[in-house]
Amino acid sequence: MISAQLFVSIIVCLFIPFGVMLPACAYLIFLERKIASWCQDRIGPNRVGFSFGQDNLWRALGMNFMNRWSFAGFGQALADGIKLFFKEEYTPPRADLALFLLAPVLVVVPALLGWAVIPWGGVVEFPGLSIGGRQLVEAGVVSVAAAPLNIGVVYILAIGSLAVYGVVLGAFASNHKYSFLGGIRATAQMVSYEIPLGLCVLIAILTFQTTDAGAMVNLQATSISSGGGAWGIFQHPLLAVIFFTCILAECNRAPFDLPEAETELVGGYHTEYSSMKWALFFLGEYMHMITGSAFFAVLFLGGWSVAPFIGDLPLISGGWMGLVVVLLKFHVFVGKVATLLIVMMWIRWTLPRFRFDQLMRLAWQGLIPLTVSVLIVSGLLVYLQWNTWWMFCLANLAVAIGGAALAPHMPRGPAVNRKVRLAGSRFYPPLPEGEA
Amino acid sequence: MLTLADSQFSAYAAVGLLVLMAAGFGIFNLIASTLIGPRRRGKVKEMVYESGMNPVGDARRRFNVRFYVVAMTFLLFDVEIVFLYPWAVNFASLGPPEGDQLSLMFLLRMGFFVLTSVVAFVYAWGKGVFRYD
Repeated sequence: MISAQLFVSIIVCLFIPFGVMLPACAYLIFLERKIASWCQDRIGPNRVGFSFGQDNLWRALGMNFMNRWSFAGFGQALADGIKLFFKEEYTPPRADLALFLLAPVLVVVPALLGWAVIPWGGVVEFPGLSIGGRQLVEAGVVSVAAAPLNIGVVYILAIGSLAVYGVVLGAFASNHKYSFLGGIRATAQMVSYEIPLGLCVLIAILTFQTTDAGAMVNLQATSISSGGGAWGIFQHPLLAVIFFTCILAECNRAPFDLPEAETELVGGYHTEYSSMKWALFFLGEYMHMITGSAFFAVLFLGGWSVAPFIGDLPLISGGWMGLVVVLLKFHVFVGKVATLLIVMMWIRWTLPRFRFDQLMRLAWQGLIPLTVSVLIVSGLLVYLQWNTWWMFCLANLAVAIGGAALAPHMPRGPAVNRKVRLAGSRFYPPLPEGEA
Repeated sequence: MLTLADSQFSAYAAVGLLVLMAAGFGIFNLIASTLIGPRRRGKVKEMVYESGMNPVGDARRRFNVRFYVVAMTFLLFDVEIVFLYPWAVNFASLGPPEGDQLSLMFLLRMGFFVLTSVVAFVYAWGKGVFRYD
């Protein structure tokens, strides 16, 4: 007989990676190409169906429609995945072989681990399971997460920051200049943006007084009248923006995709990788996006709760209706994650890439002072017990306005990299009479 | 309010299961693509790709010291943040504010702890650690 939590954990462990994460990654790439094409006024992939070029086979089976229908291009993701297995697996002779093979695994392991504490379906009263009179699973109150650790959000942060090892090892082992440049850029960027990320989580912990992801969501999903809190985004609007920016940077997404800036570094840290080894880097990036969005939803969007301020769904559900509620919670959660992912893609195809000095300046001279100020102000508010959601909200807005007011008066660096006006352009001061 | 039926052990067991699954997935992909894909070698193919130029030197070379300094500053801040997590969990439940010495003391200690890092941060800023131009 196994305990209820272990049973549910095993189901989630098997279902989420193979039922949600991997198909989602494949179709996120498809979605990204579609969004790119909408942003650029193209049609995008719409030809590849599920025939996989086996025209004669389908004809012999009497399923000729497989050849003719394109299924709106939905075969693209599957075909790409299968194709990658059949590509040449190239290992450069000058590379450090052990590290070169280790790096893609090191990228994909933290990416597959990070989501473990995400409370996908809240808490449910499991009735127990018995087959033929023998009780196999005992009854109990369980959390629908792979691993409901009490250090939840710290775990996500810890595992998430391991991703940098895969990137930097892959870059170093390739023994290639573009990879190397991409690798040190990636390290500097991920390391810099981890500090504001960690500070945001710290302030969220200070606000919710817990590190358990499930308890945080429960707190946000309770109504105000029964002592719950508002969604994190209403308590800390400034932090929500900073946190989202940091997630983009941690995932190496545009506008922070300098480590793989294709116009400067060919492919960045994965220039020398091919076939499934390259695909593991790509999978890692998309899984980090999913985990990051889920993390954002836990901290700031109330996890599975449908609407803010009113406790809509019950915290604990039991019986057969409990299963329905769990599925409902799961779909609300996934809906929020999907929305955030689409916003990420929208940002990628809308904003131009940062320059490296701008990137570092944004992290160290913008986000870190702002988050430290919010931390000190929040600590003060908690000490005075003014910790209602609108006090935190006002404090955030005050820090944002204060930062915006102070920014023009900060000391400026040397005059390199300033805009140089092109002589004769409309930004150039008008030339004196007679010279024009 | 909410009591989970089980001890923490099964939760970490699930993490262990996930580690095995993730590592297995990665290694499976490495082996599968090695077995299935074709393999051809050649002198020019094995050359370092540098946008068509003949490669000059090796990639194992010295790089700008700024990256090292940024990594050190990161360590300073990251360790500080890790030490602040237990404080953040417990601070709000330390007691009522009026005349409570414990709460005030912990606020001031946190403030001093953050201040030490802020001093280092301002020094690094003044030294131009965060300037990349």
